[in-house]
Amino acid sequence: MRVKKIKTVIKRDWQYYLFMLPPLAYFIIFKFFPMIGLQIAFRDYTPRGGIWNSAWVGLENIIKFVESYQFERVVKNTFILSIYGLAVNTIIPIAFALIYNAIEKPRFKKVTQTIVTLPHFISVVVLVGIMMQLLNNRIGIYGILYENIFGVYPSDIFGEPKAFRHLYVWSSVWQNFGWNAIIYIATLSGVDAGLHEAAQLDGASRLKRIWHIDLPHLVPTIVILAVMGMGNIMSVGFEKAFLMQNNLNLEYSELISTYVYRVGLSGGTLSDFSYATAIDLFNAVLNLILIFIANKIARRATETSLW
Amino acid sequence: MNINEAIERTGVDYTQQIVSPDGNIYGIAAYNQSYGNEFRDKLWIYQPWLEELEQEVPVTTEEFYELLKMISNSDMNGNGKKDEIGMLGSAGNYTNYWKFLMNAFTYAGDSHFRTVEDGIVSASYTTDEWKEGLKYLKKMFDEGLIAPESLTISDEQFSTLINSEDPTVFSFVYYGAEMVEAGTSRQTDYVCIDTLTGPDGVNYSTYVPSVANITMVITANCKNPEAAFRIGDLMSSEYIGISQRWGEEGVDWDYPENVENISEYTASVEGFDISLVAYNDSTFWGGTDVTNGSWRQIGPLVRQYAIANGVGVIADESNKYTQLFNEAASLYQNADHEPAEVIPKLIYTTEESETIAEIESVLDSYVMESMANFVTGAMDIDAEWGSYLAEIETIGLNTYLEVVQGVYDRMYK
Repeated sequence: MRVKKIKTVIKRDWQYYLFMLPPLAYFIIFKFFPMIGLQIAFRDYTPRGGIWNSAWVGLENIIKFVESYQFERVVKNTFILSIYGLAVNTIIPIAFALIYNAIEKPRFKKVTQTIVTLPHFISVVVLVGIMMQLLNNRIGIYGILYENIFGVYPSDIFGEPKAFRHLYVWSSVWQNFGWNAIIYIATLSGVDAGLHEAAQLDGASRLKRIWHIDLPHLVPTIVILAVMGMGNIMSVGFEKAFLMQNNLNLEYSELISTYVYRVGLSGGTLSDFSYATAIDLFNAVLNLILIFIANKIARRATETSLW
Repeated sequence: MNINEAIERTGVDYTQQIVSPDGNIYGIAAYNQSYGNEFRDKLWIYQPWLEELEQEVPVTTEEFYELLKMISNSDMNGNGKKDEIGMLGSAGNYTNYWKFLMNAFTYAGDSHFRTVEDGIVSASYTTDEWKEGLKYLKKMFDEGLIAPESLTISDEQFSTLINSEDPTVFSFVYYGAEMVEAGTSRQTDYVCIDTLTGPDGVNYSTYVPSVANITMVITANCKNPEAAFRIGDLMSSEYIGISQRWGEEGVDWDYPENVENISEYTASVEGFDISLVAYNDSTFWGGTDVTNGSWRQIGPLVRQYAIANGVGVIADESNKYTQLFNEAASLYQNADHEPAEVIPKLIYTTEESETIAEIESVLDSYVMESMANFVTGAMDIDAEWGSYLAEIETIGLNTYLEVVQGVYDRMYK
């Protein structure tokens, strides 16, 4: 009976189901299929044995990571950098969206939005290159201006270990706040204009209206995005951290992902693929747990949740 | 067999370097002997300033220190800014200024800082000499003689500084001369000088011997493995070795006896006979056209020193870069400061590589990180030396050396 029902539904709306095929194929080919390879995290991978025939070793690789010299440092760095980034990258776009929404000149709005969205399309490699170029203490704008004002060249920002997190997070704010604000701006455009008019008649100031009308309207979107953000928390972008790494800031810049690369791929003939896979799998499981917890908290606190 | 003949002409049984831990050889190798690539860290200094100050070429670390001090305290380029840099490095892989200076205290070792003496492998970074070297480096950093950004900048910025409008960089360490813009007077203003001698008379040059690597294997699906092997053997001949790199005979290069104006050429490294004359070498690496004349060194090839060192050049006319590179290489080769023993290459078994893969990468990064922290003063050399050594023990230096020693004995004893 049920199967029959499904069949009729598909027959009726087959165009919709056809549209679903490409994304479905994408996920199967690029997301699910490679998971077969994950098993080498529990094997002792050798090129000769390959994925299927290397010997099983159970949880050995994961235990090795937990007990390893670098474990505490990389987990801590990854966690702090993600939380910092998530917080700032949530607050700034919301603030921007609220201000943007309050502007009433359409042309100015359009130009502004184009300008702030553009940096999103710069690749990370180029972004880090620009950042290093601008902030160079001798040949960058920063160094040249400083020299002109104070007569001496400044110290090297990239050599300051503590600067790493701020450079990392705030450069990504610069790059992405316009893009991240799009969804909030879209949500805000759905606010009933009548509410604003009524509030204005009652003598509510602009700030009051933002606080009592706009912000509550945004809460569900914020919660959903934050929960999804939690799911990515431990998988901070590898490229950027790797590009910004140097011997002086390793204490703060060595992350799980860069460590996986160091152990698993950069060693040439001395690479431990199983171990690197195990570390990344550990990371993914941690993410899954975090997203479950975040979702539960969100459901309790705000009655909005992913599922 | 060409392979036997190749062993003879190189004077090295390079096939030993591709023996698997089980004692068998599973492929055919590429092996290219070249001085230029063997002496990695070369010191380049800005000659005009040396002349202006009427100073001799520095020979010891102390003289080098005094010289840098003199330079960074005077407005050498006369632009009214205090922008002179005594020594510049970068975070890139080939600007090993610190390794170059460390070599005047103790041999800093190969890419994993390992040294060999009497067949015993050890780590250079746990020695007292290393500590003294760190102190020297710290002094140079403290007084701003080595630019602090040497620890962070990229090779691009490094090169920009060297080529800046007013000359600012007095010295740097690099593989070759290519960091200085070609075709400018500055290219010849930077000259390569010999390695420095430390307070205890130590003087080493970083030496990375040419090694053989497997570049051809025959798969189980090959219908005619013997014929395939004969191709590999053919490619190990001298003639193919040359055409693998320089292209087609008579078009891209010629033997000296077939070059009309051969008297205008000299071998690029003094003391060698001209091996060949290349006609359009500068387009070889940079060219984007697909040619059938050369495979750009894909697959087996074997060339002895006499080939690369004997490439004919016309002084001041042909590729300036090649000339500078080869001159610098022969300077280091003749100075004879390379350590008596080094590890050419190690081939690990799976178990061996599993045991030390993580240790090696963590050790390397810890040593580099600590070096940076010691020389900038973030870590105190005297006070924290003990905890530095203890940390290295915790990471697993003993296990690491044990495994490496085993592999070294298996391959070279």
